[in-house]
Amino acid sequence: MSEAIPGGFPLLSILIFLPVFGALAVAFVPKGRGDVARALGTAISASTLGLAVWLLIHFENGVGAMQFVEAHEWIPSLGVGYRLGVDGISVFLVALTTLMFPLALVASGHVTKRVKHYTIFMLLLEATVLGVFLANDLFLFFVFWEAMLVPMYFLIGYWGSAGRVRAAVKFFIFTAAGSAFLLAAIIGAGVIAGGDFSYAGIFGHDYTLWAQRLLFWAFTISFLVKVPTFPLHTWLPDAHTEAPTAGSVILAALLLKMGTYGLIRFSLPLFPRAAVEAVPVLLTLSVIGIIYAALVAIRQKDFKRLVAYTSVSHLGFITLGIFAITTTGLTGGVAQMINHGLTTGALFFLVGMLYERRHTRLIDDYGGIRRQVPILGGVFLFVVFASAGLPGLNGFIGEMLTLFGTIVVHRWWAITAAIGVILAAIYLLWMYQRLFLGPLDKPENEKMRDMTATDLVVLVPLMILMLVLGIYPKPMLERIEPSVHEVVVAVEAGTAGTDQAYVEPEQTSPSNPVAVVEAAEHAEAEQHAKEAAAESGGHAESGGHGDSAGSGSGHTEGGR
Amino acid sequence: MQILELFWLLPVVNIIACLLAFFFGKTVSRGKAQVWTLPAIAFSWVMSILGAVAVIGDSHLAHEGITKTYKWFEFGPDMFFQMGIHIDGFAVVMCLVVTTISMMVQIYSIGYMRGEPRYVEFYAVLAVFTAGMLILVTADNLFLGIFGWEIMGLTSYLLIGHYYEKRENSNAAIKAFITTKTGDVGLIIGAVVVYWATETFNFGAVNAKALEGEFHAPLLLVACIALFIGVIGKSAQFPLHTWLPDAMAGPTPVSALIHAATMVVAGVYLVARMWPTFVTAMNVHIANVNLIALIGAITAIIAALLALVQFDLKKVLAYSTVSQLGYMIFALGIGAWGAGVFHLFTHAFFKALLFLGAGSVIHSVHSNDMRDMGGLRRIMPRTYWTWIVGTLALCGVFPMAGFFSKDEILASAYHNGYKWVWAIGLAVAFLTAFYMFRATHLTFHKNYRGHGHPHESEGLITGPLIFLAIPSAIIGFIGAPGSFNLFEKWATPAAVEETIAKYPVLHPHPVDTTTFVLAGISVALALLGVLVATVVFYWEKTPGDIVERVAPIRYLHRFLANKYFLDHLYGGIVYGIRKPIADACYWFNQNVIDQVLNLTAAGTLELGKGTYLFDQNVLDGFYNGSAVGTDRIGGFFRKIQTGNIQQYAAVFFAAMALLALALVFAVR
Repeated sequence: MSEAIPGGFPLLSILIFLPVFGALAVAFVPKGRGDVARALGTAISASTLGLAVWLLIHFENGVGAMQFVEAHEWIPSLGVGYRLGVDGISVFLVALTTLMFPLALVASGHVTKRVKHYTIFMLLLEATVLGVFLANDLFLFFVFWEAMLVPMYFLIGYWGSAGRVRAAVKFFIFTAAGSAFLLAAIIGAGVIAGGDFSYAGIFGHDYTLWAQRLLFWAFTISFLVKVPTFPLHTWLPDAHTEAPTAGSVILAALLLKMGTYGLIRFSLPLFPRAAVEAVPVLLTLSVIGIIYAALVAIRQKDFKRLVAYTSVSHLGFITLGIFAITTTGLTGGVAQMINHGLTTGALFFLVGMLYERRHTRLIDDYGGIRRQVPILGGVFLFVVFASAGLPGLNGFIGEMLTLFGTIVVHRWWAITAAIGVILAAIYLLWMYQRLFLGPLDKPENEKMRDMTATDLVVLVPLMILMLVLGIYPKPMLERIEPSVHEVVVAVEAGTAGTDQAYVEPEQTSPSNPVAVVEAAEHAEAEQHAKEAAAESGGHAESGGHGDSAGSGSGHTEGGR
Repeated sequence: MQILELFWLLPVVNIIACLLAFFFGKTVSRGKAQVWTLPAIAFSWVMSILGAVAVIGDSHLAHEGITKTYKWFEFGPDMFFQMGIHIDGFAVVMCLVVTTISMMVQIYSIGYMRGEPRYVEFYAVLAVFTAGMLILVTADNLFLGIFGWEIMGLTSYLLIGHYYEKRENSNAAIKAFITTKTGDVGLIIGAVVVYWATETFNFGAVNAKALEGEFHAPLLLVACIALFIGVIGKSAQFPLHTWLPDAMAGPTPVSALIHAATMVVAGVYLVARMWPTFVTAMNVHIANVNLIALIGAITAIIAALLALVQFDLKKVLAYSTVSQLGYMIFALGIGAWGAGVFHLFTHAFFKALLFLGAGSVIHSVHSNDMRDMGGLRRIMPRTYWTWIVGTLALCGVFPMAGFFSKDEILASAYHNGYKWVWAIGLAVAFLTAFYMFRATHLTFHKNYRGHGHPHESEGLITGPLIFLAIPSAIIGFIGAPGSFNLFEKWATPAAVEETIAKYPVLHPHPVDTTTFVLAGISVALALLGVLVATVVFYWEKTPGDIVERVAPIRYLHRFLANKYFLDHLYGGIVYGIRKPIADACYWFNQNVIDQVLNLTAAGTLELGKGTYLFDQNVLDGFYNGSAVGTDRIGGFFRKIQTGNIQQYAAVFFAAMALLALALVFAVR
């Protein structure tokens, strides 16, 4: 966290507060002029996009640490500061945020009631999401994390469809329950660390094993609710289904990423010993989520619910990459966060467009409409294939990296997860077939309008990004990689010399794969020997997880 | 500048052509999308011819090839993904096949697809398909190859479902995509394991490491099995072959290009390209049974049997393609690299010819069903005679192209110790002749049974047929056995030669009496097949209802007509996933997980209610009760509770002021 602010002006603060002041400005738009409010809101969020592009250009490549750091005192007596910074993990999420909000506002032409309030809430939501990704202080992070709930609650609860109130309450209860864990954990972490809530202070602290276990699970559960990971995912389909198009887009593209972001930012590096212990559980949940959500998606009749379940499945892939705790897997995970944001965001825009045309979410009410709406059909197919991970489009590289990163440490989990790829193709292509192919046999669909210029303005940038990131992911990967490598290094350092000692397995230089396999076998053998010794010695050492054996056992996780 | 160094242009020009056709096809060229794609494919074809000339002139170049790479993206300190081309004799041969067939198909389609819906998209997708195949065959590494491989999968999906208004067509498209995708999971896992074990995707480096024993043996076997699963999917091998016959739902030119000559041989190509690796992994040189030979042989025979009972002309050809792909695969599996690749080469020409011929017939009689055809020999002479050339080539009758390649495979099987494969190969040769002449008699001979008025197709359709008939007839001579075998001289990569040199079993067998006897046997069996087909379907010497009367034949027929019930099995599995399992998951989701969470929420709510009741009735009651006890005080308070807001405010502020004073004093 040593980088001074290039140019000397607080870019990150401006990024966060521009939408806030924009919301204030929108509040002064005269009543009844919703179009002006929306145009103003779009302009403001578009200018945050401009700032984010500037940020990307000046983001120093190959640096793992925080950049553009700002630090001011806020509540010094509690050790809480106003600290902002951005690194390779968050910079693309910030860019994605500033991209999706203007697009979502452009695509909100169908919102007719209380457009002004709608715009205000969207801008406030943007500010809070940016705040979550930019905060460098746990307390500040929590403030933004909680503040995000309010505009989202209203966006679902007021501008949603028929079941919106129930969905909004469900959304609120789930995430607020998660937040309770988070708040407790944040206070705990800060207090144990000596009353310092800055990332620097907290990351410097060495928590005891039991503190790690408690805090890790408190943090992680709250993030897993947000991701959402099986079995905490059931709020998501409801929220997605009932939210307005822009709400679904933001929810899928950004809010879910806050959970995975938290896992990378806090769960792994802060509590490495507890994290290494928990890996089998979390990987299992991820893989179950991938397969399970894909199976559930197959039988959905409502396309928004279907896309919602695809999110659960795809996010299982991301958490798989994260908890592989390899640089490759984590990079794949972060890349997939961006990719999923683009493709699923685009999918929600598209199903929103279908909904605006026919006002039904039931897949069976469509069929054969590609003849009527060829451009929409073509764009939809493009996005479907991006979501299915076709090479040449964005999803593929991230999936490959995740597999690469996982297979070296946890091969069966990786192979099982790969089956999810087939299921993804099945549910997506079936949905496409039922919506667009076959005979055009519903008379209501015969007058359907093809994509308008506005619709294309929303989708074309996303499609270009999908293609560019699919063919040339290098600029993204080389910025992500140094930062996630620091996470792995933190885990290695934090576990060194303990029972949970973790060494990242060699990803790419097993010119002697023999050595890797032998190391694995060796580790297994050692584990067996240790267990045998424990049994014969009469110690109940609970599988080597106890706190007693302080010396490094040499047992690596690399053998999984 | 070496011409081969420019081969990266081949996929690139076709991709550009696709984009131009897609964006300007309807406007600038007024629907004639071929004006964009034909120049690109013609350019690629000329480049391939020039490349072939260069390779023929320089045998060192043919073996070693040239490699041009640049870093695509890297990852960390030591993980590279490269984009690069490796062009040797083999790659040039593949480019020549792909561009020739693709060019002929694009010319043919001008006539065949005229007035069809989505003509422009059709050409755009054809161009990008060609680019995908060219990427695969020019790529120097597996990762880039997978890109080309998957582009083909996508375009195959789009083209099979070209007439998506009919539900069964889009079903066939999905089936093809999902089945090949199932294989692709194997391919991707294989690629990951290859990288893990050898830290490279480069075909040459992987082969070298495998040959030198630097590829950890268990991982090598796992990688090869996983890759081979991908091959099984893409090259329609048993048990994942069922998508290919359904893929005939696409327009016929597509079937000729994608489902006969190019995409389906991608798997064969991959095995051939990584042949040293596969040979080492599967112990081809030691065992006389291995996975590749077994799968190939099973595929060859079961598909040939299925072709016997088809009435759809295209499906006969589809099963024939599956069967011949099995031939190629087992050729590679028994160690006959040159023969297998040569069969790929010849088969591409004559099978494309047969498909395009079938398209010409179908275009003319407006039916796929051979029972609606017959007697077309006189009406469509050009189609008929080119068809006969293709059929004889497929049956392996001397001196057609198929004779040389098929005979070489069988002879190698005999010599390399795979006698059982040789026997199966002979049976398939007999069956091939039988079903092809059955189809020929039903379609072209006897009397016309249809209802329309068929006519010979236009020049744009028959032109490509005549063009393709020439290589189908004569190109076999370049692969004549022994020292005449120019094809192997030009096309064999250095790594393959090393492998052959390393394992004595794989050494080329001598040309002697045995060679001619073996060739005689296979040709005799093929002619026997022709004879039997003619007896049954031309002279009709067998009782017509033999299938119904003789129980074993009836059962066999039903077994074949139901395609060994494999589709029922897979359909059952997929339906099984879709209905019960997915339903069960959803039920579990809604009624268990969600209920648990809802109950937790409800429980919390109840707890809240309980707490509130406790608060209101117990705690508050306690307070109230104590208030009753202190009635006097209550009376005092009741006096103050006058409902006057100012009074409340005054009391409140007074209390606050007292509290503040107390605090100040306390702190002092």
